[in-house]
Amino acid sequence: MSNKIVSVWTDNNFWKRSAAWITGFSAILLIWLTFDTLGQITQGTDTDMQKDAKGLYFSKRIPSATVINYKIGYEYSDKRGHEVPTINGKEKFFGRDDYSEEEAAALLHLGKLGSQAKNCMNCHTLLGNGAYYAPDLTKAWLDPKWKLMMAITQKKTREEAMAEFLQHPSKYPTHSRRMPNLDITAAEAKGLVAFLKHMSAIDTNGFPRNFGKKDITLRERSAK
Amino acid sequence: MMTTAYKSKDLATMYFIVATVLFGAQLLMGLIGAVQFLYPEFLFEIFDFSVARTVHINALVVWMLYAMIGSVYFLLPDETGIETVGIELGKLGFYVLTVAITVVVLVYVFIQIGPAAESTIWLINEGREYLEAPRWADIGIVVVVLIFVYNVYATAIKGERTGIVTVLMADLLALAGLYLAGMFFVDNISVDQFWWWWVIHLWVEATWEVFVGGLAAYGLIKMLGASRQVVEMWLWVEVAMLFGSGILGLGHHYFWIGTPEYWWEIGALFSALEPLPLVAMFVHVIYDWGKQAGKNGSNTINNRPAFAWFVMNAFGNFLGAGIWGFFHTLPQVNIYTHGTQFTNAHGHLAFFGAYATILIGMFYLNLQSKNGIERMRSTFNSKMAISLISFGVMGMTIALTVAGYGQVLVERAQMGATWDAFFISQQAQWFVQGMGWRLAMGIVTIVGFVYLAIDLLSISKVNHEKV
Amino acid sequence: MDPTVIIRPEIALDDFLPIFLSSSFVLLFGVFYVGIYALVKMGTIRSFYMPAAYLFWVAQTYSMYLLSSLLSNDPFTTKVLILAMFGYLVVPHLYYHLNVRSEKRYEHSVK
Repeated sequence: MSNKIVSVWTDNNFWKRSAAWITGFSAILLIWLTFDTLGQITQGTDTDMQKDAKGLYFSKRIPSATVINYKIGYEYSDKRGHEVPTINGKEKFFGRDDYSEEEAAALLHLGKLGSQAKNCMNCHTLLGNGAYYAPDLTKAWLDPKWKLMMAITQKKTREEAMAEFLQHPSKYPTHSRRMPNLDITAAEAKGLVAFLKHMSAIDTNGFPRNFGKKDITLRERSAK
Repeated sequence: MMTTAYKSKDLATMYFIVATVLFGAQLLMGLIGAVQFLYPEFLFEIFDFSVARTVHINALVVWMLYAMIGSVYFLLPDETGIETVGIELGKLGFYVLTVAITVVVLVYVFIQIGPAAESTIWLINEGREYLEAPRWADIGIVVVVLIFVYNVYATAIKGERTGIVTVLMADLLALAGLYLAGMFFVDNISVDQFWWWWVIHLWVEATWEVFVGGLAAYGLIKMLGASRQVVEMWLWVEVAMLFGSGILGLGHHYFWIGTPEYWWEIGALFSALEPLPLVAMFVHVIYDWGKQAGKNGSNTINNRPAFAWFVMNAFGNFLGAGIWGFFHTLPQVNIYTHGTQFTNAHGHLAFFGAYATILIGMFYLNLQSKNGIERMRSTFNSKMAISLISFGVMGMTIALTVAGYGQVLVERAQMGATWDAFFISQQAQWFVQGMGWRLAMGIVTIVGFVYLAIDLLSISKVNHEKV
Repeated sequence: MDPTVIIRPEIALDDFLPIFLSSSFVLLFGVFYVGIYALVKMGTIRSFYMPAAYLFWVAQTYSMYLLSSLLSNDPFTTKVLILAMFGYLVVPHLYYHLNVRSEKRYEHSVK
């Protein structure tokens, strides 16, 4: 084996060291970004929420579970250049709008557990991730379809219609592809609805775009 | 070729056999899911889509892990020059893992779901795509993988430590460590998905890719007689490029899950770089092949079926992970394509092209070594297997892309991604026909698998040049 | 107010197909460029084909430009992308150079 150095570019050790440095540098950058991101996606508190309720926008990307006490919207923001969740005053959730931080967190906890225990993610997508067999649930709470489902399930409110649907999904088919019965109890259904309502208030950088607004692109283009 | 005496290679065979069986199970579950897309009443409330898909993707991940562990046990004696340390422990790990996985699958199939309680997550199903394995199994997997990593390290320290072994040592430690990021429960779904992607992305777009780089390097030396120094130098170049683009490429999963906007730029930039190492790997394989063929004529390759699968890997990795990944990765496009059949098309071709191909190649290398065959030729069955499986997967990918195109236009661009929008898109002509072709191509893939299974069982009995 | 009249930077329906195609072509033409370049250099095919390799690079760069304008990127981003394409023009030369040099260096020391 010749020990004469021919060129650094064909030197095994040069590339070995480069690989180690590049990997190390990328990993450190990722860890640093992770700290920053985790800070930004920590759940807000009820105090934040009460302050936010005076305006229109959420100050936290992931609001407190007490968001179930409020009416949530999804509106275009000129500043951000896409849609963001909005807070529009109080709204009753299963007849109450005074859930404490602990009560709301307990509901969210039950709902999140339920979403995993019932394996939602292997038919639906949540925040766009999962399987592609059933609709995306990111903004499911805001879906205009619940108006019709309230009539079909004979319930007075959106949350009750959702809870009823979740408990007996195959009784209310909307398409030949039905949701199967997953033995969801009334308590679990309430938790799941809280989980879905909370998810609709997460700031997803405008995903999904134009939620619930039909043919917007077509109309816009003919207007131009 | 006096390598048949190593116990490490026998252990590899055990892993490869289970991997092949699980590959078959994966295809069967995929078939059920594909049928349900067209005939939703099929097995409704008996064996729902969610169950079929859970087993489909878990069988995929597990067969690949088995084949990867098997590949390492296979190449370790060749690289280090000694018998693997801790073979008995490795065997114990194999049996524990196989029993655990059998129980997990039986629970998926027969119990399926549980009440909304921690007990479900510990015992039945964790309900997070790809990481569905219940927590008890997670812990078991970690223990078995630790045994495996220990064996690799102990062997490498005792024997010769080549460049390939050094890369694998670092890579396996990262791969095993990352699994821990997916082993806890949180209420905050954004935090949940943040760490979930650490496992999924840093596996399939970083550590697994580097692993494949290591296997390809080993294969080039073994099958073509390529120079070790050149191959290992390229391996380091590839490691630098793969980790350099892949680690921060994680950003393309953080566009829409509640994470800050700066991930748009980071994700777009680094995922645009991700195809570069795949091009390099592709060029390098072609170059080495051409160079050796120029030197030795047509007798260059001593294992034709394995080499065919390795070449398929160079193509498939670039096509599936490169092209199908790149065309929906920019945030401007991804906001419409995220979570549609586009993702599905990319997933099918990328997992196949980047991983299934090269691991099947390893199956053939193992058969050659186990039976002391100096030159392994392709049989009719080997040719049918590689053509039908590749054609089938490519066909499924194109069909799903067409379906995805229909879905994106109708559901996302025109109708605003609601419940109704989703189902209207699912009835669109393009979508339904795409799904029909997907089923047909899936069946082609399964026929190809049958050829593969027959070939793996019978190829060593065909007349080859023995040592 | 009707929210649908807001003009925003959207992708027009007719633009989806060109976007998907142009982004695929960026990479596909790229492979043709690199592939033909490598084959000519190795002497597998005649050097007569070399201009074809560079033509594919041109096609690739045009696809990137098209993609960039369809996504209504700002001019700065477009410039950066085109600059990246010049990087891609150079990279195969570097890969090849590396191959030849490493071969020269190591090939005689083995066996």
